[in-house]
Amino acid sequence: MSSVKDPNADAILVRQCLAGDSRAFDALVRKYEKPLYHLALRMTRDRDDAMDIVQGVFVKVYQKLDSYDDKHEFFSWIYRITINESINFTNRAKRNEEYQSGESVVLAPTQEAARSAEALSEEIIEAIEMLKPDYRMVIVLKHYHDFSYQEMADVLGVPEKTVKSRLFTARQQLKDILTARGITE
Amino acid sequence: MIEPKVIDLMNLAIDGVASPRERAELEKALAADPTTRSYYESLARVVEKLNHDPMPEPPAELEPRILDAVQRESVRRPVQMAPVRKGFFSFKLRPWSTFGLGLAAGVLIFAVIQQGRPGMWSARTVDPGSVSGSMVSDERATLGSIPVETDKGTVSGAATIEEQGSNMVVRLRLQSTVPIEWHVDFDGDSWSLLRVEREGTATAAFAANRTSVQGLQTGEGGVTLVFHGTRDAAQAVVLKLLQAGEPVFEGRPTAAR
Repeated sequence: MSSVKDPNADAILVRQCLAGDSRAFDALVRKYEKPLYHLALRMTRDRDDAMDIVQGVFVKVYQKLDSYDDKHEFFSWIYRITINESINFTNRAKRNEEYQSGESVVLAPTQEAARSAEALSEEIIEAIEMLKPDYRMVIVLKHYHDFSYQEMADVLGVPEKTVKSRLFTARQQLKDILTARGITE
Repeated sequence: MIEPKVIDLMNLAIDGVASPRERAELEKALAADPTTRSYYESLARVVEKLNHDPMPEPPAELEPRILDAVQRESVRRPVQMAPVRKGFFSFKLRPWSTFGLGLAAGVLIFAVIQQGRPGMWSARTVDPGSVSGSMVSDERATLGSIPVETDKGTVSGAATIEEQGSNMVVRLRLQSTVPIEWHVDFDGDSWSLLRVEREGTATAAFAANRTSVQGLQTGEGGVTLVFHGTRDAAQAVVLKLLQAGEPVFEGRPTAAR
């Protein structure tokens, strides 16, 4: 789990950007490229598409930085842009139709008795990617990006109650998938 | 069948946000039913796995790709990044073609001639956006200047080149009695245009490409061009002025002492 949430540091960098310091923008890129790439990758399930999205996000941030309202935290703003771009992409791509019903996906257990950490990670990623986008998003934000319920509600633009409902359902589906594949009991 | 409310309590407990009362309620449910406890332990193991799953590193080419895209964007469509203040004007550059600039110049001249017709001017010039505040810090180092004076005395003023942090700033201040077209040429390999700010309303239309910024002006006023780049290229700046399409001035910076 990692976190990029540091509102004070972000506020300083944004002010420096607005004052014309291009190195401050570079610093924002270095700080956020990894988490945003990860978020986009989990949503698109494709490395090149994720890179396209993240590149587009930073160009959009560059274009809109002068209209950024510093009453809101920068990380919420840039995550929201990434989420919107990712959702737009997945809607366009229509790659998730088979999982749109929200029903659990049950797969046959694998035969592997033991798994390396890397293989386990792959199995978890595959399971996450089987979730429908709304559920996938909350799992990624909560467990990889360390977002609180309220922070997820802010960036997703939904009530906290909805976030909890999605998260709890997503975990249940993940548990079912991982159990069915013999990854967890 | 586990009650949905108990599953919610499990999730709250796993996330560490269950209240003491909710925690006690969950403990009671877990103690009462082995199936419920088994479900809870399984859910906790899944969350444990998620929490320890590493976030992958992005491809090495991502960062340069982003910076390159932003750089291209800054040249194609410089963004006003200074804080907004009332009482000034600013605008965003558009990558006009030479034809576009010529057309704008024609419109400008025509509009000057037709000053008695209200609405003509505003209908043809670039619409300024809101504002620009000061974009510069107090730390300035003047690298050179280009004094402007034309043979017929129709244009005067100066361009100064300053270093400001990592930015190079060209301040163009002109006074003209006739419509003129100005060009600030620069080394596009060493400098990239970040933004343009204008002072007053004398400058009406702009264009920019990778190696040049161009504008139209009548009266007294100026613009400030902010570049990202190295100070070595300051001496490569060339200021050109055209009147009715004919060159009337060309100057290079005299190094500051």
